[in-house]
Amino acid sequence: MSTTHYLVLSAILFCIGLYGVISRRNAVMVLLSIEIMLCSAGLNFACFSTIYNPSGQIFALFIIVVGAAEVACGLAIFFLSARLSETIDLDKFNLLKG
Amino acid sequence: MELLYDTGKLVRIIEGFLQDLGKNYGIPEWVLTLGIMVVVAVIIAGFIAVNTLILVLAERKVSAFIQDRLGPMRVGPWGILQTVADALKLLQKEDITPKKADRLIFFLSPIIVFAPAVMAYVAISWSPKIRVADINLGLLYIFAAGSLGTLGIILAGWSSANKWSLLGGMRSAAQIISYEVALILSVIGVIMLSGSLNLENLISCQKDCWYIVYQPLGFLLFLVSAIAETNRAPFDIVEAEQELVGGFHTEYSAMKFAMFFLGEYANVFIASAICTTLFLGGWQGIPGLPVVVPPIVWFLAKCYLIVFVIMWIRWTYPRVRVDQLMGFSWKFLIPLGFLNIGLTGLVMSWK
Amino acid sequence: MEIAFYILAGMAITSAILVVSLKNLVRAILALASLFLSIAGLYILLSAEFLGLVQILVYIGGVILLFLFLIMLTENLFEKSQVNLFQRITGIGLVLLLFGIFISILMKQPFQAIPKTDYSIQEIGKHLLTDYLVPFEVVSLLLLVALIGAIVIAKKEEE
Repeated sequence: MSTTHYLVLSAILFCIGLYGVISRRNAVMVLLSIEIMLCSAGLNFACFSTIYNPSGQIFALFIIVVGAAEVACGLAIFFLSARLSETIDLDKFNLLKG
Repeated sequence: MELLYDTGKLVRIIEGFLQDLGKNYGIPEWVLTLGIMVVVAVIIAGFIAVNTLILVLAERKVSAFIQDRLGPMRVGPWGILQTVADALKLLQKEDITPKKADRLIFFLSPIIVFAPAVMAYVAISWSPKIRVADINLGLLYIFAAGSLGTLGIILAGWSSANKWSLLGGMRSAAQIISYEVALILSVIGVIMLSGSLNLENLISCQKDCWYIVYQPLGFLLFLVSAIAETNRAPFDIVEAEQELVGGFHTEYSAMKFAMFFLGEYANVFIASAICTTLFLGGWQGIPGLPVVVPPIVWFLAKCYLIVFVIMWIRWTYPRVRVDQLMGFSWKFLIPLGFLNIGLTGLVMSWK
Repeated sequence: MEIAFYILAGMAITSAILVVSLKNLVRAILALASLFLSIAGLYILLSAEFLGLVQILVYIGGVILLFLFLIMLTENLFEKSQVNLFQRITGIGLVLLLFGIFISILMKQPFQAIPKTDYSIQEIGKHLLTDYLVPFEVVSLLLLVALIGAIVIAKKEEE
């Protein structure tokens, strides 16, 4: 196994996650796609840490923690906005539009 | 017979035999590995089944004796074959799926609950050198396997298309994740003392003195949190008959219910096996006295002693109310866990 | 260990495609759980065992449960509106373009085989508390802020 295999896998996952963010209308699905992208970044870091030094693993650990915190806050905001506006279609949240 | 005492030699003999088999008959190595994996899987599955058989009967007998009655006495001498009768009854029950249930998730949830409980059996060490895999992060692996089971519980509650199952599943999942934090905190004192997460190292570091002497608070915290983790009384508000009928497993029948049952008793055994490994010295005898019986007998005896204590607690204390449940973990057990870590660190740096 | 990599990679890509294309939210979340599991397996293949186990513990035992709690308590299970076909094709085209850029950069890299490294957890702990102490403390502060923030945002208004 070479690093190229892992990096190509990470690129594929990142692109799938990006497609999910672009094309999904439900806010929870967008959060799920962002999680896919975070996973692919972590995989990248862990792959390089086998060649250089353990900083890659430690940074991937921080990515996991930050991802979990972001999901908690994002879901709280989504819950509140769904309760207040009774719809979950992201295109309808356009109150701030100029 | 002496091989039972010196199980390292037993493992070496088996390895030598397998290597001869590979060389003489030309069997490729991956076939041998696969064969060993299948044999070990069968042994573990058999152990879990026999363990559940014994534990269900033991629970009924222990509860009967605590309540001053005799328990099941009709099937077999002294009621020993009662669980066999229960198992036969469960096997021939009709398998019902509710009409509105999500079929795929309804089918998968018992598997998601049962599989991590079996996964944890891979890491525990039964006797010197007898363990399925020597995992360097064995303790963390067991906690990770424990947290996978929570997913199955909430999916089981959801897919039953029943409001009370959903509530029961959610309460159970919330309870499990609250007490998981307390569980891991109570173990950190032991990890600080021994400096390793490998279960074999933890056992060999207790050669001179068991860790229950050094960490009594940790032992109590671990026992309480483990009882709450496995949803047993006095923390079983989610599956108590008087409260929510059956909680998250109300709509399950026959083999799927048996899977939940097996999973619960497998979890109880794993919790007591970890308690034995961390605090009671694993397969070692009492330090200083001669080892009279083989190590595996010591290990199983200690495990079943802790299981007996867990059952005893079930029939002694009243059930904790659902609003007191989370508060007990977050406001009482977790600060005590931090206190334990602080005290351990202080004493270690002072020495 | 090549076959293990291909199995895990296939599982990861299949789960990711299922996440972005399933309409039923609960099944999409389950597909995400299987993606996390396969990524944890890949971490263990890369000898980052601590990272893999923490991924299972935190992501599957925490984040997935968070998603499931929210979905099960609210009523919106299915996506009601979808993007139309033109937007979908543009999306796929953009993503393929980005993927092409990634591949053209990656294929110019020298071929490096993955060595079998052995960073013990003692080493990682030492690094966390000496070289990376400041990020470690900042991350714990971040978790505290996220905890308080999530509770404050989602609390019911008390009259």
